[in-house]
Amino acid sequence: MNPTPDGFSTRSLGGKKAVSRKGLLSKKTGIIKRPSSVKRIKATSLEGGKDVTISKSFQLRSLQRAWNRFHAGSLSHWTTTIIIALSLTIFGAFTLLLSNANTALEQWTGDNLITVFLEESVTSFQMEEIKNKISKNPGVDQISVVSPAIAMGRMKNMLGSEAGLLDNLVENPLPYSIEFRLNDKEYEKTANLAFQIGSWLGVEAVSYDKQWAEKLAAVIHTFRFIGSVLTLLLLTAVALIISNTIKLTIIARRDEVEVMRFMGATDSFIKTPFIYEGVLQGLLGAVGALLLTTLLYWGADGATTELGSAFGIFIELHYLHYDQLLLIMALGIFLGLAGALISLSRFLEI
Amino acid sequence: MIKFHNVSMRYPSGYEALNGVSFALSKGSFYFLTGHSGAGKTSILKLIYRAERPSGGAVLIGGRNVDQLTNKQLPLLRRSIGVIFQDYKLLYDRSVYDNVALAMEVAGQNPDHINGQVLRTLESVGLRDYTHQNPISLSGGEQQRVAIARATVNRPSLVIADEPTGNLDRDMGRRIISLFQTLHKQGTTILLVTHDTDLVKESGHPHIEMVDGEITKMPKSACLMEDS
Ligand SMILES: Nc1ncnc2c1ncn2[C@@H]1O[C@H](COP(=O)(O)OP(=O)(O)O)[C@@H](O)[C@H]1O
Ligand SMILES: [Mg+2]
Repeated sequence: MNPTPDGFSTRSLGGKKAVSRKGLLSKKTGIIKRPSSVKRIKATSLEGGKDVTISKSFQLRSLQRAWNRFHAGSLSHWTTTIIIALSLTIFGAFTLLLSNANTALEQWTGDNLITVFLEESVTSFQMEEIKNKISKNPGVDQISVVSPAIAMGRMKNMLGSEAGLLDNLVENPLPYSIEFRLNDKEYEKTANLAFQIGSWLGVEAVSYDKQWAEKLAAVIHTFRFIGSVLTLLLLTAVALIISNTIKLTIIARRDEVEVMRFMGATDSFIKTPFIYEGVLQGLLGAVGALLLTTLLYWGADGATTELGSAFGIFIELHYLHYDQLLLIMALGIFLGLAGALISLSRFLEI
Repeated sequence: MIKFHNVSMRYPSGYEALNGVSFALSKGSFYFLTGHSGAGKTSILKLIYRAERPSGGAVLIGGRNVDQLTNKQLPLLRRSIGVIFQDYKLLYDRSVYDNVALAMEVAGQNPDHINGQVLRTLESVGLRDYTHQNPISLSGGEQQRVAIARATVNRPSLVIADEPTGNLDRDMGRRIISLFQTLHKQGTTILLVTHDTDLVKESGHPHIEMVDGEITKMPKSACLMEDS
C-alpha cells in the first residue's frame, strides 16, 4: 500500500488506514464498523438497511430540483406555462363577465318596482278594489296610485330640456296606474304576480323591471353553459399539454431515472420532482393568468364606465372575488398535478 | 451473502441467458466471475441488483429472495449493493461531485454528511482534484474511478462490478483492482466480472467461470451446499 506514481491514495475508502477484517466486522450485527470519522454516514448493509430515514427537507430538495430543471429547462416549460396562463385567462375573463352580470341582476332586483296600467274606463271604485286586491299579496310594499298628471310630470322631468314637446298635447294621454314594490326578490314570483294582475278586469298592462332581468338571466345562463363547456375543453387540453411536457422531461432524464432506480431511489424520490415540476408550471401559469385577467379587468372597467357615462348611468365593474382568485390558482395547481400524474403513470415504470 | 439456487433466466426475446446456475458467496469474500462474451456474466449481476428477475430458481441476497421483495424493500436492497456498470452510467449533465453525491441523496443520507463523505470517497479513488469537472472530460480510467466512488460512497456491504478493467490498460487495471482490494480488506464483499484471466491469477482471488449461461468451473468455497 505505497503511494502509486499517479498519486492514487492508498488510504481506505473510509479515510483511515485499512484495518484487518477482524476489527471491522462485528460478528453480532454483521455491520461493518467504521472509523469514527465516517460514523455519521448511515451504512447500507443488507441486515442493517431497514432504517431508511427520508430527510425532513426531502420535499424542499425535490422542489429545488424541480425548480432547477424548470429554470435551466427547455423552451417547452415556458411555452406550457404561457399556454396555461392564456387558458386560465379565458376562464378568468368568463368568470369576471358572468360574475358582474350576476351582480347587475341582483342589484336591479333591489328596486323591484311593478307598475299596473289601468284601462281608461276604470272607475275610482274599481281602482280602489284593484289596489286592495294587490295589497293582499304578501311582500307588497309602498303601493300608490299614480294619476295621469303625476305621470306627465315625471315624463317631463325625464325629458328635461326636451319637455317642451309635451306642451303641445291638448289632452293628457297617460292612464291611471298603480305602483308598488315587491319585497320578494325572486323573479319567478314577480313574473307570476304580474301575469295574474294582468288578467284582472280593468287592467291594461303590467310592467316590471324583471322583464329585462329575465332576459339577462337567460343570457347569463347561456354564457355560463358556453363558458363551462369551453373551460372544460381548455382545461383538458392544458392537462394534456402539461403531461406532454413532463413526458419530454421524463424521456430526457431516462438515464438519470434508471441510475437512480438502481442506486435504490424510492418511487417518491424519483417522482416527486416531476410532480413539483408540473405543479410549478400550473402555479406560474395561474399567476400569469391572474395578471392578464387583472389587465383585462382594468381595460373593461374603463371602457364600460365611459360607455355608461355616455348614457348618464354609472357602471362600475367589480374585480374577481377572493374565492374566484383562489379557484384560478387551485385550477392551475390541479392541472399541473394532473398532467404530471398522467405522464408519470404512462411513461415511468419503476 | 449471495446465493443462486438453480437459477435460469430468459430475456423477453426468448433467449435463455442462464441455465441452472448455482453458487454461494459468503460475506466478506472476493470473487471474480469470468467467461467469454455472451456467457451470461452481466445477466448474473443484473439478477443480483434485480434489474432482471429469474425465470426459474431463486436468487438470495443477504438471506432474502430478491424476487419476493416488496416495492418498499427493493430500494433498500439496492442501496446495500454498490453497482459499477460496464458502461459506467455516469451522468454527463453534472460534475463528478454531483454524480457521487446523487448516490447519497438517493439513499436519503443526511445532507450535512454528504459533502464530507463525497470528498473523502473521491480522495480515496484519487480524484480529489477532479471534483468539479464534468466526467465527460475524464479518461476511461478516471471515469471508472468516478463510478467506483459513486458505488461505494454509501459504504455498501456488497460491491459488484461489470468488467471494471475492460477498457483500461494493464497498469490502470491493476490500480483499479487494488481499490477493490482495499474495500475488501474493510469487509466489503466483492464480485468482479472480467475476462482478463491474467489479472485474476495475479490477484490470487478465486474465480467462477461461465460458458454459455452455465457455470463450468468454481472453487469448492463457492459451491452451494445441498442443505443451505
Ligand atoms: N436485453 C437482452 N435481450 C435479449 N438478449 C440479451 C439481452 N441482454 C443480453 N442478452 C443475451 O444474453 C446473453 C448473455 O448476455 P450477458 O449476460 O450480457 O453476457 P456477458 O455479460 O457474459 O457478455 C448474450 O447472448 C446476450 O446476447
Ligand atoms: Mg457483459
